[in-house]
Amino acid sequence: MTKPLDHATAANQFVADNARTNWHDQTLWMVREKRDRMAHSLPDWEDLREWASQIKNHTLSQLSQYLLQLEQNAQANGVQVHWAANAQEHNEIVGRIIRETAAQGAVQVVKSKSMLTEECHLNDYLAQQGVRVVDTDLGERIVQLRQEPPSHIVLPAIHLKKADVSETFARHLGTEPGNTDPQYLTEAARQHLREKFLGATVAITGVNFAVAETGALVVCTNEGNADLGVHLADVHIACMGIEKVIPRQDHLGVFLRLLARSATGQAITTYSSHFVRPRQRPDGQRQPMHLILVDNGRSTQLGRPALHNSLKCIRCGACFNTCPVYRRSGGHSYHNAVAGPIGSILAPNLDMKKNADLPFASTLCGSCTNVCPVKIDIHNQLWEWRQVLMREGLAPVSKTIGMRLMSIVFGHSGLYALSGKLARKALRLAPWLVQNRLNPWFTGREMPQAPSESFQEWYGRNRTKS
Amino acid sequence: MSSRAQMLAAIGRSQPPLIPLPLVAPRVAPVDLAETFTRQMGRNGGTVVRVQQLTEIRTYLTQNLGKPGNWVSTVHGLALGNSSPDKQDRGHTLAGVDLAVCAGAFAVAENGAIWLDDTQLPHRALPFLCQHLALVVAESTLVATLHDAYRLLEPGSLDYGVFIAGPSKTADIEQSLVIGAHGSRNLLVFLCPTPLHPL
Repeated sequence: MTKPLDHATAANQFVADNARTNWHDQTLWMVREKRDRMAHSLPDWEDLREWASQIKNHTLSQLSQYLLQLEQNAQANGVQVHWAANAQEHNEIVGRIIRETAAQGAVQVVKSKSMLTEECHLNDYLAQQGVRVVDTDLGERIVQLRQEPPSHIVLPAIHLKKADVSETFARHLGTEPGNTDPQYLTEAARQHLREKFLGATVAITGVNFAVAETGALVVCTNEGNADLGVHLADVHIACMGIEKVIPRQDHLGVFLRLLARSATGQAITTYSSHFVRPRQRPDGQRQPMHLILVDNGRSTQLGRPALHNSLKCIRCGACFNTCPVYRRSGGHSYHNAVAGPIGSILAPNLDMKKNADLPFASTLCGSCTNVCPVKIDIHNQLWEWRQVLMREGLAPVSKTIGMRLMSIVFGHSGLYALSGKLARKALRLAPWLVQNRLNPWFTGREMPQAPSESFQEWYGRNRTKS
Repeated sequence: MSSRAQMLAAIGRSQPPLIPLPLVAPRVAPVDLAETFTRQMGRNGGTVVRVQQLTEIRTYLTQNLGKPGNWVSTVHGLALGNSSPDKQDRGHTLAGVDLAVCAGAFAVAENGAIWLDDTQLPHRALPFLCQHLALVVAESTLVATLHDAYRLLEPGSLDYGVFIAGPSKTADIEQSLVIGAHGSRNLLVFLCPTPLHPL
């Protein structure tokens, strides 16, 4: 695979369209404001965040035990449980189940939203096996038809305008060219996808929460696409990262109260489905149902004390919507299935070298940490990754040279005073020396008015006078 | 070594020392459950209609949705239209259903979520495939929060269950809200004082 553009370069391309960037920025901020209204309307909001955080902390500290309990209960419910150490193994398991189903006739696969299958590049893998997957979430279907990845975990097509969708649907679904009415376009997708649901033999879903105590797999959608897939297809395959397990059913009360409110500012998603025992088919047999538990680096992240908090994530996307960098750089600039602040913590764990730029794609303002429903200290973790990447020699060259120079200057007080003096002189006498394209701090900024002396110089002068 | 053993060993090595579970003690704020539920369902895009008895439901439906087409009812004592879904059918036969009327087991005031499980559903696909959905909810089954709702579900007793909190919807095209994505195009909730019984 060719190396993607680094975040800063891709972000530069994104902001080239000023009007679109402003729209993206403001729209996501609007979603953040909806989340705020929801948070402020619940008197126990902060308690819920604390409970959710502690339940997740507890679960991670007993993860192997809860996974075993989940496996046992799911098996008792008639679910076949598979363990996949990495993305490749996950894809192979899905491929094998599909081949077994296909042995009985033609196969048609529908998939509702699952960031894990994006992380594993399942669709690409299956395409190589000659199996076409239809993504059924509207936003995901739009980006799939455009052969793009989702740009947001909750709002997959947030980088697109309705004119883009209209153009895509005109080309692929035969809608009227130029008709940009969202109602009309959604209706066209509804008709198109109903056909796919009714013809599906295999339905793949993600998992929002898996309850160890009961083996229940909880999936949340607004469109109803996960249920339409599962209830009509012959086979259900649910794919989950191992961190999605929660201990007890009553914990769902905590997490479902937080999830949609944090994600889109809704009190709850339209559908919160609890898949426990596979449905009975007309022939009396139970529908084959599979659960794939995927590690893919998670056990490694769990072993990093300063970073394992990132595994508490419930994928609500609140940190995306509030992030000043995400809002003005777009999801694709993160070149990872999960973008935004949380993605920038998860991505280096998948491939430290390829994703070394992402922990730097942040101002460390901490807004993400303040909105996170499970209290992940996101900005601290980004800062932690930066230190790891510097130690490993993987930080961007511009950063390492700058840092080395700064550490020399800050380590020698004489040199510090001299360079301060020179900089002030240069700003006053020869501003073009710093106000040019070679100075990255000049990009998009006015350089400050330089004072004639430093505070230290002023202090020294005034102190001797008194 | 199998992936299962390998993963469990790696997780066991990595997981931090035991952190205890918190005591979850939600605050109980007294609210008018029916009023809160009705307001919230409205926000979710559904409509709440108050009824006293089953016959009012049929009257309302014929007055507002016109001549019964392919209507089905799984509510005991409420016969509608000409077909009743059969457990033996594949879900696909329900694709032509215009209106489905089902009973909700209980509902949550804070978010408008109505619980249905295999007890209420002859086929799990029904409330998703029908064009229009109507749910009958008894006011006496309303609870304040999701915490209360999960207390009503005996762990281990469930095969399949779903909270339905409104019509299917999406805002995936430029954040414009469109009601009627893949599932039902609208949701009508008949709120009656106590569980309705056939006359």
